[in-house]
Amino acid sequence: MKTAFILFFACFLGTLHAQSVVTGRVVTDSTALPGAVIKVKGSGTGVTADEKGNFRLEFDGPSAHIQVSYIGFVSTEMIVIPGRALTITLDPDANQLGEVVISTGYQHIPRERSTGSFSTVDNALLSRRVSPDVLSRLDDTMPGLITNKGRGGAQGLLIRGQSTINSASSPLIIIDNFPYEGDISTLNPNDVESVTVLKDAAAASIWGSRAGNGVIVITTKKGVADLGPQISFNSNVTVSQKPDIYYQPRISSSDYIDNEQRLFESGRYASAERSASKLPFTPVLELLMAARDKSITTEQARAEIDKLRGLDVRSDYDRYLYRPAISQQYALSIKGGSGKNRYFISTGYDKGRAFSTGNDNQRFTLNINNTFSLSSKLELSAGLYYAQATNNSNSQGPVTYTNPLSGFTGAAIYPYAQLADQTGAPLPLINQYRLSYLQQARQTGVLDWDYRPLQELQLADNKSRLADYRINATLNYQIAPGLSFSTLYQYGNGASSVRNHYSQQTYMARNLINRFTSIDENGVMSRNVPLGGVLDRTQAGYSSHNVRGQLDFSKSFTDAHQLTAIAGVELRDLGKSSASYRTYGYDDNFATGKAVNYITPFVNFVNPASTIRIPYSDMQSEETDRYLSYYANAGYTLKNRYTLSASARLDQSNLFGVDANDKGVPLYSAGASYNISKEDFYRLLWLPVLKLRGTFGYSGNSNKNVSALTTASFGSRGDLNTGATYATIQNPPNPGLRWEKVRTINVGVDFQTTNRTISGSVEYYHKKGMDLIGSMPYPGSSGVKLFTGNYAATSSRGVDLILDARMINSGLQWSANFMLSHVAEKVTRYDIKSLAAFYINSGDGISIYPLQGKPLYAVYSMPWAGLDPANGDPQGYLNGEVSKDYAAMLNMGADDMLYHGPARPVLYGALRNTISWKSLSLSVNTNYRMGYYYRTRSVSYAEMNAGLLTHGDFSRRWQKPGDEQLTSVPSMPASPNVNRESFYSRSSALVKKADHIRLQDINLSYRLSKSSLPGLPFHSVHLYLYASNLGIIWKSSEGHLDPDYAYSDFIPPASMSLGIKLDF
Amino acid sequence: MKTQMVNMLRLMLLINLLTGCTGDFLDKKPQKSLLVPQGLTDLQALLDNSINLMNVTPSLPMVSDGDFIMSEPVLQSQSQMTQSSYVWSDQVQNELADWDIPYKQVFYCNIVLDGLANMQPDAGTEYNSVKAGALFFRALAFYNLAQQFCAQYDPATASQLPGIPLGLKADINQILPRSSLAQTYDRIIEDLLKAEPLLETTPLYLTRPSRPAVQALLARVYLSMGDYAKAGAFAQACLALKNDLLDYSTLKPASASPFPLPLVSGNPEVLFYSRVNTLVFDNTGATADSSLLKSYQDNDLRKLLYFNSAANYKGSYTGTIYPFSGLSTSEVYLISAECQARTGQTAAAMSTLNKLLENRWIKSEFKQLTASSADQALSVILSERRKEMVGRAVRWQDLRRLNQQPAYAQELVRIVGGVTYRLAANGRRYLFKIPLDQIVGSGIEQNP
Repeated sequence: MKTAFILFFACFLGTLHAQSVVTGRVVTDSTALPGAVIKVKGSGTGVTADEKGNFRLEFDGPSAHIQVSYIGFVSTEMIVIPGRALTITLDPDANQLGEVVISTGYQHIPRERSTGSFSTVDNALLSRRVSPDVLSRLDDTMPGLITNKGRGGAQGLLIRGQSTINSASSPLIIIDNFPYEGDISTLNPNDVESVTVLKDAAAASIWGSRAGNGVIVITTKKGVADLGPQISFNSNVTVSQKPDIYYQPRISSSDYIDNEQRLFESGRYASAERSASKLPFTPVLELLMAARDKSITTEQARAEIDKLRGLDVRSDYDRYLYRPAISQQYALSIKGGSGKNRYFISTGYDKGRAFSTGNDNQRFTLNINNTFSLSSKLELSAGLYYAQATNNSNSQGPVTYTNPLSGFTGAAIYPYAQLADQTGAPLPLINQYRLSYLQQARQTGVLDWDYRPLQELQLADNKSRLADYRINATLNYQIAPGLSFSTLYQYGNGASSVRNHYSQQTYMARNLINRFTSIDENGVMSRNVPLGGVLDRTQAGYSSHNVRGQLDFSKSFTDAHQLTAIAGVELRDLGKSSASYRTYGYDDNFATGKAVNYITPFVNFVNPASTIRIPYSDMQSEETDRYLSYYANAGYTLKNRYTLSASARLDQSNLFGVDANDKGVPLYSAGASYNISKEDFYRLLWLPVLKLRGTFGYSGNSNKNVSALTTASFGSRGDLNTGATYATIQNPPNPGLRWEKVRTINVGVDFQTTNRTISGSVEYYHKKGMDLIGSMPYPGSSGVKLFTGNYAATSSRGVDLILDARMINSGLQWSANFMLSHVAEKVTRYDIKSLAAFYINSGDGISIYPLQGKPLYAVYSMPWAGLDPANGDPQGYLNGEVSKDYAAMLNMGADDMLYHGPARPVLYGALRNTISWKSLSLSVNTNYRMGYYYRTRSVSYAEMNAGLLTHGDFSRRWQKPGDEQLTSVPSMPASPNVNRESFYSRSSALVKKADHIRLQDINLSYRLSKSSLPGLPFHSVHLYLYASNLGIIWKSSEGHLDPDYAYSDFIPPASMSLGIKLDF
Repeated sequence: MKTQMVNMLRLMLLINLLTGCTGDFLDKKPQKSLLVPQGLTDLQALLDNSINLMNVTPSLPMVSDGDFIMSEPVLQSQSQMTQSSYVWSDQVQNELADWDIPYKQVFYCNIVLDGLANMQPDAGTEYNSVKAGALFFRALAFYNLAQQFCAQYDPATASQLPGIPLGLKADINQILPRSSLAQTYDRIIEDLLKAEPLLETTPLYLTRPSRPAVQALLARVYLSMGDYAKAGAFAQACLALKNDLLDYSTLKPASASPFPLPLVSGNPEVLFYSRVNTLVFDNTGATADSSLLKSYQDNDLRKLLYFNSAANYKGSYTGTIYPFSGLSTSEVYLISAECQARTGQTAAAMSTLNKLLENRWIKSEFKQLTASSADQALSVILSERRKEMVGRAVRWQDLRRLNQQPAYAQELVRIVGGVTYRLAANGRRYLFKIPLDQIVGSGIEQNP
């Protein structure tokens, strides 16, 4: 074996003895073709182009007849002589596989020689959508990738299911060779050339311990050689409708008032009326009290109350708090290059105003990169990416007040509230205190204490700024033909600051000042929170250093063998810091503040029986992540048919508390592919491309929140009782802690029929999460209610299918792209079982309650036996019998509950139809999501009994015998029963199937170029119209709820964009 | 070719140099505020986590003990857990803070004790104080659990009845069964006896134990066990070190919160500060039992300092609306007096009691109480105990122990929504149900 290896190397080293040299670059449409094969015809000598498409060929004699070939392109032949660098342009071959090169962030691999699972989205498809960010443009472009809606942890972008429980489930994002640590929204999509998603072990193992959730590799645009300046301008404007704030049904104002009267008459407010905290009462309650106390007559009260019945605060919300959203985007770029230099410069400006009045944002981006050929062997690239964003977040959200029965400070305001009078002037509403108390307090000389939500919106001054830049430099040295060494360095820095200024006119500042006002026996007023505003500032930032040294080897020798290999070392150091602090008595004219006493408890002005401390919100933190990694991979292709690949990586990090020896995790992968259509015996002429491939390997997930040792953290200020330094246990001791691993098996078939009428691929995968870290409920007697350790395992099996069809390909062109993904996820090991109630309440994403044998996030319920025909009580089952023993049913074990299904789609995908005729093109995208469930909200009599706003199902409640045939909403109980409420809210009556098909978006575009219209002042002009969020076409459940937005206040409104792109 | 290979090797070496000293590079802490608790300062910092952990105690016994009444609307707005405890329902709760918090305290104490075991023992004040602190907090947590989830201690049956799981190591993988009641009390006493000699008389903060505080807790524990000789002895020992009382005639009865904040301005009676873990009933939500209110005589200042005109409680030694559940000299006076009476020292018992009461009355109106027999003294002392200790989280313990004596046994009765609920003396619900998550997670025996 060893001898064979040496012979093998000796064989290619022998070819290095040569006299003449020719250098050049292989491109198509100005894009490099790394891996293109350049051979001297008839000699067996040959090289492959490097990742920039450059090659250097040595040969005997004064000239050579060379052949340049690249999979998917028409080969070309020419005679070359040594001297000037060549640029060889290859044309795409209509009969070959479409996609060309896959960028893994470490190397470029021709798809033909890849064994792994990759999806690439090119610039054209990325530009089909109009949005300010990149990631949302990936939806519906490839199988296996989905942005889940739903709630809590079940949300977010996921590639091929979730193979972790407690660690981050989001994919690793790479921008230009290095993991990106900043805010991805700062990247201007106009600067993105392509996005490659790495899905299996062979693709992702090279990224090691953070690649378990897949990797998204973003490549930004670069300059091109031998091209004069090319200027491109793109601009669009998007308008979205106002959101429908009536989307979630709500109890009517009149019903709400009836409920207030009922509670008042039963004496529920008696104790709150005497409350020392001066709790606020709604206008209806105040009227009822006034009538009771005979300060007005019962008739007067009734008349006043009846006037309120017709009001709906949502009409004021609609009028004053929401508006259509508008966003504008401008991008300008210049690219070009000469033989020695290639450059790309772009700048972008985005401006948007949100639905919520008071919120808007702006972004400016600048991208400059340059590549210099310092010599024939040495190339230097340097780039700068700078982004700056400014956001105003002045919206105050929904109006709330302190509910006097529950003391809940964030209760939604009563439904008949009015934010403004007829002239639009802001009206005061109750917030924390009773109006009569505020009037009385006013006599003492404290500041105005009224709360006017609309005035707050005008006074708000909450601005955040984000600046992010990356500087990178790459030095590439061609050691020998086919062998190069490169060093890459990137420095990243991001800084965000939030400045939230509450002027003294704001309720927040006035209330704080008043609460900390004290008046002594002589009537002397002192203010412990000084007059002036309150200024909150938060600053957060990161800086990262990435260094990589890598050897690349790529060589073809004889017709049969191609070998590519890389090996390298990578070092990452990421520092994050954040600090927030507050200034009291702030004067914005002079930027001055005043010191306050945080230590002494002061008598609460509102309730002198209690003491309060001035809120202290300063905090600071510093974090450091360090990684040191060694990696290598190699691919060997025989006769362009058989490819073997392997990769290995060792990751080490400063995972806290683990001995250095245990810090590392070795991960590896292996794969093979077989291009069966290249075989001589292959006879299927209608299917010119058929390739089988398979991979196996490990990647990992890292979790910084656990440690093998007991860890604690100091409180960022002293203990409130004593001021002493105190510590909180973060992590109980766990000597057996290990890194998480994900094993992935992937097999796939790529195919293409004649003339590419149909092309596509089918893949099957199995991802097995092993040694997963998860929080597990623990018996209280251990002292830890949730314990985090490696005791869980998951499995995701799935199929990804993509089909691209050219239905008609003549004057009129019609193509269709169809994607289908099926993923079956389950937790295969989880040792502890909780009560049914935990799974039902939180298992759909609110928190993590894994149940062995079920998907990580799933919808469960308690079996429902309909309403009691006699009185409308909800009924369930206990030991197989219909029961109303709610307390006993609530204590049911996990085995007795109903499992409906996953909380995330099992089957999903999209169909995109594109029809073009001459310069006009129409593209319609529909997507579908199937096989999952959601829980709807309903009326809660417990909420009503606490005087809170409840769901509109109240009007659908059981009221008389027979209603049980028409509704499943229980009757209003004679006396409140918490268990009855809990049972109904957890019952299967509220679970629905979420399957649906959605018309996601439509793009209509018109392109004119100089070739068709010579008088055009530009090279080409491209006009486009884009409409998105067009609504649901079909869904399995009844009712008006959108299954993906069942918990949202409203669904994303439809939007329309109009844009123009000019190429000069 | 050879030179090329050499160059390549040099480059590889360069990378290795770049990444050199990898040991140091990877030893950087990922978060600055993180620590692996090792030194005495770190361990003390764990015990000083007072605000929401070490210095909070269970709250539901106060809901169940009958001293406070909630009106129906107020009751309906309480959590299901509070409503259940209020009427001594058999319903099992999924989770209970009253169970979880004491065990979290035990876990912290065990981390401290394990940490100390890995250090060189030294006889220094700081080492002793940390060790005694951990033992004290652990004993207090075990004691509070025993009062809520175990039967009343009786030496005759203690070895047969179940106690609580006694975790003595910070090993969370160890899931323990219930110990016996005798083992539970043995552990409490052993920890406290070990802690007592290690402490100074005056603590740096009242959230930390001191020698008199340990003695006061020992007196409380022995009293609940019916060992009056030892309870009395520790009460005496405590008072020998600290016997200050707060003169109530110096306070303002009209004030909404008449008592000084013990941690800020100081209350001379407070030996150890703690509060109950949740706001059981805010000060307007509950009113004092009318028979209790009637038992205060007119010139007894406690009536006006403890209650407002609406009979809402305002007398917490925390100085806030959270009930005080710590240790105070006034409690120790009462334990001492009770033990003296129970051991036949009638005169001494009344003298101890009068020392306390002198500070509770309008000075000019106070007349020394007398008793003609030890039994009469005991009756007077117990009545004064109830009046003095209302709202200080000891009533539940008193009911449990006094129910053992037919003369003092009593049934609790509540009427809610027309339904009468009763808790018989020694009734089943003097043991709270253990929360379901504990039962499911560990399989330990549930209370009947």
